[in-house]
Amino acid sequence: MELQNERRGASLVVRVSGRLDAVSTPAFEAHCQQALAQGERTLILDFGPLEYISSAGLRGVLTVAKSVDAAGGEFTLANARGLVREVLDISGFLRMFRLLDSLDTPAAQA
Amino acid sequence: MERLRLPAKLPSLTGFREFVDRAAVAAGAGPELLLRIELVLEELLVNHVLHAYGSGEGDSDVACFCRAPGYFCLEVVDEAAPFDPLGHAPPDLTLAAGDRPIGGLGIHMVRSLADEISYRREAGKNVITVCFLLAPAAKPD
Repeated sequence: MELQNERRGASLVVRVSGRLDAVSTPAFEAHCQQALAQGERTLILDFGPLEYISSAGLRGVLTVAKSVDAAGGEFTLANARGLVREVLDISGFLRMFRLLDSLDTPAAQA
Repeated sequence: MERLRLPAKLPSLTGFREFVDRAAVAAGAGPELLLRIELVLEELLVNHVLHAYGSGEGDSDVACFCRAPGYFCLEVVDEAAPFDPLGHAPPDLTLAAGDRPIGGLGIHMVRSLADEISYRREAGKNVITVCFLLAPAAKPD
């Protein structure tokens, strides 16, 4: 798994690559919690280059989303495809969270 | 039937994954199916790591075989107390994020992603068998 931050206006985009599994998820959670601790409030997870997410990864995403919510921020997913999108659908996450199909939309620039 | 036995710990996941990948590729699984198989494998093994042996230690045992041509199966075995993961109700997927309990999704994903799943208790072991169609037939309209 690799994580890359990109600023878009008031939003912090965290691009997640590779595999979000039981082994890598703690590092993902720590990365996002650190961003929150540094004052970020609008978090977009860009899953474009993510090829795999397990229930451990979903738990990490949910934990981060709850933290963002508790901080009064806004949490959005973007660009999920293939198996990752299917897993988000199966698990009900597509009903819980907003999923952007592109970062080049007004919603992503807000 | 090829078989691998390793401690039920997170660092064993990589070894199991490589073992299963080799067998699945040899059986003819393509890259997309491989990710699905890996996901089901992780869910079942993580269940061993987190729950099967409580605070004690034990092993996970994984076997790969083709039940029929084009039908690739995994057998995932532990020697812990009897536990039938298929005997539990699926999680409530309609709850909002703030109301969602953290966890309970793994077995739901296994059920959704495998083409067949069964559980049996045999000689003091929990045996879960999951199977995948290597080339899913086109769905009838």
